[in-house]
Formats: sequence, structure tokens, C-alpha cells
Amino acid sequence: MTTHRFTVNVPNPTAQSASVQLRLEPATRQDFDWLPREFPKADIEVIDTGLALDPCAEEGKPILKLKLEPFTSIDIHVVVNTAPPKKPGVAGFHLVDRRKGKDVGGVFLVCMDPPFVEPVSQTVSTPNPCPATLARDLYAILPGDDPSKPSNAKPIQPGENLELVAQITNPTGKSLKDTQVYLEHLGASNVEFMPRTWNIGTLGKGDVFYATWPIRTTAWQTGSFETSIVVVSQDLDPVRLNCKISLMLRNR
Amino acid sequence: MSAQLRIQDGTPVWVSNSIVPSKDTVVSPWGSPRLAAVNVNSTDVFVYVKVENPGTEDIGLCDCVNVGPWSPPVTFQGFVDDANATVTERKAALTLTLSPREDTVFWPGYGTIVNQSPVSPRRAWGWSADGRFLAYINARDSTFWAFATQDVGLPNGTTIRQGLLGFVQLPTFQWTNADFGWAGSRAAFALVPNAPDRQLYALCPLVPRLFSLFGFLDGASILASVFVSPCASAIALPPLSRLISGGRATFNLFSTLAGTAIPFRQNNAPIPDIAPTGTGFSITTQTHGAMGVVVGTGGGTTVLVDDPDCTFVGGGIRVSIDRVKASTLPTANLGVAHVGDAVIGTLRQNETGWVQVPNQNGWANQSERHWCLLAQAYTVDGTTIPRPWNGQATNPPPFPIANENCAQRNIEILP
Repeated sequence: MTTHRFTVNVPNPTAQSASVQLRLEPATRQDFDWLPREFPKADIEVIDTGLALDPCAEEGKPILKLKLEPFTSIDIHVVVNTAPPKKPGVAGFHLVDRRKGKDVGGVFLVCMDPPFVEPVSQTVSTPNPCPATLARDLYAILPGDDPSKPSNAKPIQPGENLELVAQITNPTGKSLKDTQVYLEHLGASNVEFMPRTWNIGTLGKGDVFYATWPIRTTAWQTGSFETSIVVVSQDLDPVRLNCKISLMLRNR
Repeated sequence: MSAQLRIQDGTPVWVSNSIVPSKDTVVSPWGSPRLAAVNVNSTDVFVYVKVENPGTEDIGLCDCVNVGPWSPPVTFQGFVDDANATVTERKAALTLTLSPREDTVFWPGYGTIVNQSPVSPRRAWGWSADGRFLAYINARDSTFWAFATQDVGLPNGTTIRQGLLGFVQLPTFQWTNADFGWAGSRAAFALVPNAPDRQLYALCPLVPRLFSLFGFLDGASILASVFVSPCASAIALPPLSRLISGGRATFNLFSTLAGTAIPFRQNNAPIPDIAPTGTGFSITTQTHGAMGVVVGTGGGTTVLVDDPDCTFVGGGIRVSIDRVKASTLPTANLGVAHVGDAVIGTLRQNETGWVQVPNQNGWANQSERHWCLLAQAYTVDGTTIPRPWNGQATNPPPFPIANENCAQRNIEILP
């Protein structure tokens, strides 16, 4: 037998006492849609389930009633005992919180036997991608400088107000119509940017558009960060263009 | 028309399938990621959020629909040259009153005298196209006044308060209302002699520096010589005739949003000055985007430049993710930790897109494995669809899970 334990906090954030009724409801097949296709969704045999206040309990009650004082919370423990599986499988339960005659919330608990082994990450492609690309790596310039001149590029250092430049180009022989580009994010960096969408319109073969976004660096942070710029064009799927930016120490 | 954003709730509400932490590299915002396990040391996990526009309004697009030839400013509607004139005009809660005793502008709780007794008989005034601003001048001292008829929210989140915005004293000259005009609701102009030329002053109510000198026109020019873009975000001045023979004449472009001169651009790169090539100037917007404006430089020659109205559109949609320790109440906030933010530029009616949100603050789990991701989507301008929740406030209120643009998902952060 395998015992699966979960600790769940049950809060009362109000100024009045709260009477809480907790119960377990089995999950449905749809609740496991997020599992990778290759992971078997066979049910593992559940021997019993229960709710307990004792973290060491081997079993518990199907329904737990509590009274919580104002602004307090309590940890309750969910115990699920399953039979040794003949093949990998999954069982899930919703711990449902009911107050004043209404279900007010819950938590989704999943038991897997054996434990979930995450599949390798993959690239999710798209059937009809917009072929626009970056003509060169991103660079930063002073606000107002000519974005078409990479010689104006400045290092990105703490406390700077700059403009990030992305040279968007069409490497194909077919013009791209109604092209737009926006900056989705600057990765795990703490650089702030002003969101804007550029309406490039028609981007012919070899044309370059110099998209810019004002950026501001705040706290001291260094390193290389992966950014995401999205290009959209008529009758084509939008695509993410990824490129790194580097944050440097300020020279003393 | 109503603007709406939706992040679909799950069934039950604490397991939204529109919030997916994933290690997948999803090439397109139209592609769906697969769920990944998160541990405290993960550095390659994005949180993807599916955002829908179920409303009747496109979000993030250029709101300028007018194209065509650039036209002159609209001359001030109001003009009197009579000390005994009596006029009362009102827009929103702001009232302009002209009387033999004095001219006043009143708004709730406040007022100002703009023409003291004995009144200067010559006055001109004009309301902006949207009725949100008033410009007024009298001939006593040629003080050019600017007022807001109501509170006006700006795209950067600040507000211009109803009432007096400011005033400037112009050079004194014998004027009529034909020397003043509005470019949409973006700028009021005064064309003032400065021999041998005329100077164009601009009052731009949306700009912190309210008054600017925009440039020069030929001495015999009238306001009809000024080209205003279809949505009034820019004006262009034709070259000075007296400089053409010397090869120094150029077209000049000014932004009514910045209150300064700006360069003409092609694919967002500034280009050298545009010189005249003959007679018969024109400027026409064909499309709202890069290379969408045709400048007729004279003699049939044309130059394509970027449209200043809409080559870029500020704003869009921001998606914010926070996480809290999981509990049975979706609205309880136990230890809010910010995950990150990302942007979608545009979302048309009935469109859907997945936004890739990076984790800017790590996955430390404070020895607690069960967490809940909280996602919210709102417009960057802060007003079309306001931010529903600030988890970083000192005492944040409950997460508004009932909002259509909010959703949550339980996850586990493994040690």
C-alpha cells in the first residue's frame, strides 16, 4: 500500500468566526488533460481517503467540520492510501471548502504512482510561421539617437534610460503585409520597458525596420537575459523572436 | 462597444487550464504549452497565460481611422471686436462668459478673470474638437489662455485637472480669429508676425510644457498653410520661400504629443531634411504605418515617410502573475510573491493568444510545496481595463477571482 499525504491550509481571513466543512471529491478524466499524452491516465486503485488534523494519521474522516476564529487558519492533512499499482497511474481529488451552504474554494490534489517523471521539454512549432527575423542582435542606444546606426550602441548598465533596438527584416522573396511587432518581455531581468506596438505595414524583401522600446534599468543586476519579441503578419502565424540582452556593471 | 479581457477559469475555479507553467519553447503565441514540474531551482520555466478578447472592441490597435490629405487647423469659432458683446458658452462644467464688465471662465468651485474691466473689445476663443479644452485670447496684452473643461486622463496614467492649464503672453499684433486655430484636440495655434516671417506658437494641452514655438511660415502665410495630420498628432510646415533659392529650405515636422520638432522617418530611422522640388506642396496619409505618408515636395516629386499618427501605438495588454501559498480559499493571500509580467501588443475581437511570462523572482517555496498562481490581464493605459489587483500593496485585498480577467491555478513547487 502507498500512502500519499498532503497538507493544506484552511484560512479564515475575515473578522467573524467561520464554520467550515471540508470534503474530498474525486477528479474527473478532464481534470487530467494537462498530463502529457504519453503519460498513462489509468486509475490507480484507491483503498481509502480521509481528512485529519493529525499530521501522522494513517487514515481520516470523509468530511471534516471546523470552526475557525477570526483571522486564523489551520493546516489539515489529507491521507490517500492506494494499492500497489500494476502499471503507472494517477488518482486525483478536489478538497472542497464549503461555508454558509456554498462551495467557496478548494485545492486539487494528485496522486501518482510511480511519481511523475517530467517529459523532456520540446519546441512547439507552428504550421505557417511569419518568416520575419532579427537582422542582428538587439542593442541599446540613447533616447533620440538614430536607431539605424549600431555604432551608437551603448552598454546597458544600472540606472540608465535607453532605447532597445530590434532590426526586423524579411529574408524571403515575398513581401509581408500588415506586419506588426511588439516586445513581449525582457526575460528574467528587472529592466522595465514601455510597451508599444509598431505598425510596420508592408515589409519587402531585405527591408529593415528599426523597432525601438524605451527601457529603464533599476536595481543592480548583471547577466544575460533571453528576451521575446513577437512579429505578426497578415495570413501568417505570429512568431516569437528570441534574443539575449546583457546587463553590465557600471564602471566606477 | 465594450473592451473585455478573459482568462478562462477552471472547473473547479482553482485549476484554470489557461495558466500553464512550462519548459516548452513555444514558437507562436497561438501555440499551446505543456505543463512542466517546477522546482525551487528551476530557471527554465515560463508561465504561459491564455488571454481572450470576448468583447466588442479591438484592444491595442491604432484608434486613428482617418486617412487622406493633411488639412489646415480649424480656425477659432469665437471672435468679437465689441466691448458691449455678451456671450456665454459652456462645455462640460466649464463656462466662458464675455460681458461689458469682464470676461470670466468658471468651473465648479473656481474661476478666473481673463479680461478685466474696462474690457478689451477684441477677443477670440476656440474649443477643441472633443470639447475638452478651451483656448482664449484678448487684445489687451495678447495673453493666450488654456483651460481643461473636465478632468482628462493621460495614457501614462496621470490626470490633467479641470480648470486653468496655463497662459503665455504672445507678441502684440492686430489679429483676428483667422490667426488662431485648433488641430483636432491636440494643439491650439497662434500665428504671430515676426518680420519677415510669421511664427507659429502651439498650445499642446497634453504636454507638460504647455506652450511651444513650433516654427516659421512665410510672412504672408495664413493658418491654411499649416498641414495637420489626420489624427492631429503632428503638423508640418512648408519650406520658407525666402530660403528656397539658397537651398536651405526644408519641410519641418512637429509633434503635438511631445510639443517639439521631430524628424521625418523611414522605417523609424530619421532621414535628412526634405527639401522642396517645385511648387504645389501636399502631404497625404495613405496608411497608418511605416512609409504610409506621401509628401509631395512640389513639381510632382514625392517622398514616402512614416505616419506620425500611428506608426507606433503605445499601450497594449499586460499580464501579471503572482503566486501565493495554496489554501482552500481562492481569495486568501498568504505570502504574495510576484512572478513576472509580459505584454501582448494587440488583441482583436474574438482573438486569443498565449502570453509567455518569465519568472523574474525565482521559485523559492519557503518550505511549502503547494502554491497557487494568480493571473490577471489588463490594459497598459490603466483605464480601458484597469488593473484588478495589486498583490504588492501593503495589505492587498482578496484576489478578485470572480473577475473575468483573473484566474488561478494550483501548482506544486518541489524542493
